Order: sequence, then C-alpha cells, then structure tokens
Amino acid sequence: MDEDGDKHVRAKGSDEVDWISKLPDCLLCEVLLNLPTKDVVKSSVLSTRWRNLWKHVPGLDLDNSDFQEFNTFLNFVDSFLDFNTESCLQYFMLKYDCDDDDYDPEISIIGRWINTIVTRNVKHIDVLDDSYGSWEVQLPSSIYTCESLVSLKLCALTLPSPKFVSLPSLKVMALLIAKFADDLALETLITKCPVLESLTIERCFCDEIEVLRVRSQSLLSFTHVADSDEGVVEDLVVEIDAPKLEYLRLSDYRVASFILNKPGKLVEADIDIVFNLSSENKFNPDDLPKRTMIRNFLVAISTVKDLIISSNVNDYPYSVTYLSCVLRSCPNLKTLVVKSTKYQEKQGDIVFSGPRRFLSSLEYVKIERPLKGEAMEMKLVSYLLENSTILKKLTLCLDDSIKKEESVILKELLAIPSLSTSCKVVVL
Amino acid sequence: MSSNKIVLTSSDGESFEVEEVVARKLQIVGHMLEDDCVINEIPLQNVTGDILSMVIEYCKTHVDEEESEEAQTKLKTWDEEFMKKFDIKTLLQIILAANYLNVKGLLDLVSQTIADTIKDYTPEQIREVFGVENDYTEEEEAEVRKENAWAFDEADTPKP
Repeated sequence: MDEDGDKHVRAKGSDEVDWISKLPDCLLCEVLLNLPTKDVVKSSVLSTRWRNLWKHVPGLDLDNSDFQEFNTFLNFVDSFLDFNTESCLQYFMLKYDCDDDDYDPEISIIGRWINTIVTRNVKHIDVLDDSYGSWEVQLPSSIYTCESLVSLKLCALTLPSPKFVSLPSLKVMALLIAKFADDLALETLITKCPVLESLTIERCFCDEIEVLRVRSQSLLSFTHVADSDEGVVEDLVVEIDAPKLEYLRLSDYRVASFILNKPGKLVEADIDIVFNLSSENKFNPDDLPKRTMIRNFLVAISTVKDLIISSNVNDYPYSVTYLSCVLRSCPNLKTLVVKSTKYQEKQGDIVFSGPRRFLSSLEYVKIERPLKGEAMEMKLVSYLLENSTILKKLTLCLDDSIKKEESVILKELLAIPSLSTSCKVVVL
Repeated sequence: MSSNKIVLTSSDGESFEVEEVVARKLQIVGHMLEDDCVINEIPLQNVTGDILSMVIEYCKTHVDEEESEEAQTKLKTWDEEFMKKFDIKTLLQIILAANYLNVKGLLDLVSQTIADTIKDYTPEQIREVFGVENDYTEEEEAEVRKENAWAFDEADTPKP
C-alpha cells in the first residue's frame, strides 16, 4: 500500500483499537491458514500476542527455495510437525529441490513426514519434488491409509504398490509425472478410491505403464496429459471405464489407442490427441483396427455439449476428415472450439461424405486455428454455416500471412450463405 | 423446504424477517430449529443489527448452492464485490459474527479476504493497517526475527 493509503486507513481507525488482536486464537489461525507458511511465521513479530500463534496454524505451505540452507528447511518442517501433535492438519504443501551439495538421503525424511501427517488426519497433500534426483524416494504406503485425505497431488515422486488402500474421503487426485512401484499400481489405486471425483494424470516417460485402465464408478472428471517423446516406439493404451464421467480432457501425443467404455454422461470434452500418429507414423487408411478404434472413440464422446478440439495430426487431410467426423457424430454439440498449435501446409481434399446431416444444436463455434484462405478451410467454414440451423456466432482468426489480402478472403467468407438466420460471423 | 418465516433479532434490538431456508444458513439457527421446531423468533445476543444485516445478505445470495460452473463463477464474483464494500474494522466484526452464527462459507470468505490484505504487507505495515501495538522490546523483537530468520529476509525492510 502506498503512503496515501496508509494515512487513509489510519484516519479511518481513529480510535486506534487493535481489532484484529481481539479475535480469538482460533479465528486468527483461520485467517492465517490462508497464507503461505512464510507469511504465517512473519506474523510472530507483530506483537507478543502473535508470538506463538503461527505454531497453532494447522497447515504447512512451504517452498525450500525460501531457505538458504536445506537443513534449515528440514529442521523447520520437523519442528513444525512436532507442535500440537494432537491436532488435525488441514493441509501439507511442500515444494523442494535438493540439488545442491546438501543433497543426501536426508530427503527420505519425506517418508517420515508422510507417516506423521497421516496420523494427524491431514486433508490435503500437495508435494512437488523438483530435484534432479526425483523419483529416488518411494513414498511410504501409509499414504494409502489416510482416511481423512480429501485431495492428493504429487509431482515427480514414486508411489508404492497399493496392497492395502483405505481412502474413503479422497475426491481429487493429481499424479504428475509420477512413477509407480509396478505397472499395475496406478490402476489398482484408482479402482480402490470409492469416492474419487477428479483425476489428473500427467504421464512420466518412465512410468512403464503400457495399458492404463481407469476404472471408477464415481469419477466425474478425468484429465490425461502425455507429451511426445519422439524416437521412442511405443503402443500405449488408455482404457476408461467411468460411467459417471462428465468432463474429459486429453492432451496427448503418445497414446496410440483410447478406449472409452459407455461414458453416457459426458458433457464437456477437450480433445487434443493424435493417436500416436506423426509424420513418421502416418495414418494408414487400411489399418482397420485403428480406424475402428478411432470411430468408436468418436462415438463414445458423441454426447458432448461443449467441445474443444485440436487438429494437430500431421496429416492435414486426415485431421479435417477427423474433425468432420466429430461434427457429424455429436448430436448435442452446442459450443465448439477448434484449436491448433501447428499449421500444416499439406493440401488435400476435405470430404464430408455421406448423407447431409444438420448440425441442429450448434450455437457457438470458434476456429482458433488461423485461416489462410485455403480451399479446405473454406469448405469447413461453408460446411459449418450451411448445415448449422441455429448457429449464433462463428468466430474466425486470420493468419498473419494473409492480412494483406484480408478483404478478399473476408468477402469470400461473408458471401457463404448461412442456414441459421441469426448467425454472427466475427473475424479476429 | 417450507417457506416459513423466521424473525432474527440482533443484540441492539433490530429485527429481520427472513425465509426459513435463509435462516438455516446460520447453523446456530439451524441447530435451534432442530431442537425445537416451533420457534419463529430468535434473539441473537452477540451480533449487532448492521452486521447481522450483512450476514443475512450473504446467506440470501448463497441460499441455493448450485453446482453448475456458471452459477459458481457468478457467486464468486458476487463474493468479491461484497467483500470490497467493507473496511478492515467491519471485516473483523463480520468474521466474529460468522463464527458465532456458524456460517462456514462466510467465515472462509472473510478469512481469505483478511489474509489477502495481510499477504502483501510487511509486519510494520500490518501493524499500521490493523492498529496492532508492538509491545516487544527491541531485543525481544530481534530475537523473534532471529528464531526464524529465513522468513524475514529481503523485502522485510519497511517500504517508504
């Protein structure tokens, strides 16, 4: 706050009553619980009333980069966990890297901390290992028996084999570039979380899971992210069996097959996948099993109302066909966003084969992939305009390279007859 | 849920007639209603009329906790605007009231708002804004800082 602000506030509190210190300890802790531990500790200097309050705040949110020495960090966490051992912990959030000379097996202390916080009935765990030696430490299996746990987020850690799991409160789980004791550990863990609602998995290159089955009766939201690792030949499969699933996000350049079993309630999907196709591994129209898999996948997501789709498959004609298949197979589609990070130069012909099918629920479309005015793009735009009965808004972006000829392309675009009488075309 | 009316009376004698569903958002009232379902007037000893009216405004807005993302975003925006209306002193009175009346959502919201205020300040600024009197001696304060020196590095010198 600037000086004027300070004066303003002081003028307001004319009676200079120390209101905040009058709050009972439990309320001050409630307030402090919303701050990172560093700020909580700082409050100790305000006045004697605040001297030891920080020790009673039931949450830890620390980043070891705030400490000059790694040992100070370790000692601080240790002593913090020794305060109020009888009380419950709301959250335990740690980010650490132990790349400097201090690195030694000391950090396996994380295992002991996990054991401690499980006995303290912790509700939220968020641990990120940012070290060069990530994954070296395997978490203790006590983490699977934390009955109070509501959310679990782990990054770059190794999880043990789930022999005994009791996580009756766990609703949110995010496992980012995690490794597992064995290739079935992850799928077993998912199956054993009875109230899990949201699951995010960011695959690690070395997780050694070839087929991942996500089976959950409670799951509402699933996100699967996997970056490509060109040069590695793999044939990964993700099979999702979650009848209550409403939200699906796939951002994936590795998995060759996605199998989605009966997701009858899916309403929103964000799909950026290539089915492991690339310029080296082109789509082969004669590969019948692959075609069937892709078709089944499209049928499976066809209940969606809101769809974000990226057509990044290197084979552009294929990707446009793929997009047209998506459009034709989603009868409830209301909003569509077409994204793209790569622009492909290749030419090909867009095929909207089969009988004409109206896009009768589509209201909002945004094509974020910059248009260059190519024939295929024009066909796509025409297709959307000519077949959408109630389209309200179509947003297009023009590629920088054609800004000069903008007016020509615009004219062409605007000349496309629209079936919907209330459609607005916006060009960004 | 019935549309029964309940009268809530503040410590300074101000009365508010509200729908039962709204009154039940105050868990203290909810518990009373469970114990004895014929009450229709409830005196609330520890809260003044002006603060109670704000708590009621919050409860009315949050009476349908809809799950849809759209509704959630709308409520969040409303919460932010609602919090902007109050100075620190009022916020502290509201947090006391939310605690006494047991309105969890409001308690969390005000806690977060006060925490956000604290977050950007140095200890010296917090003392000024909240009127906290520093009763440490110089040596004592130095000792507190030394105890957790890591938390008091760089940006700790009071800003001009």
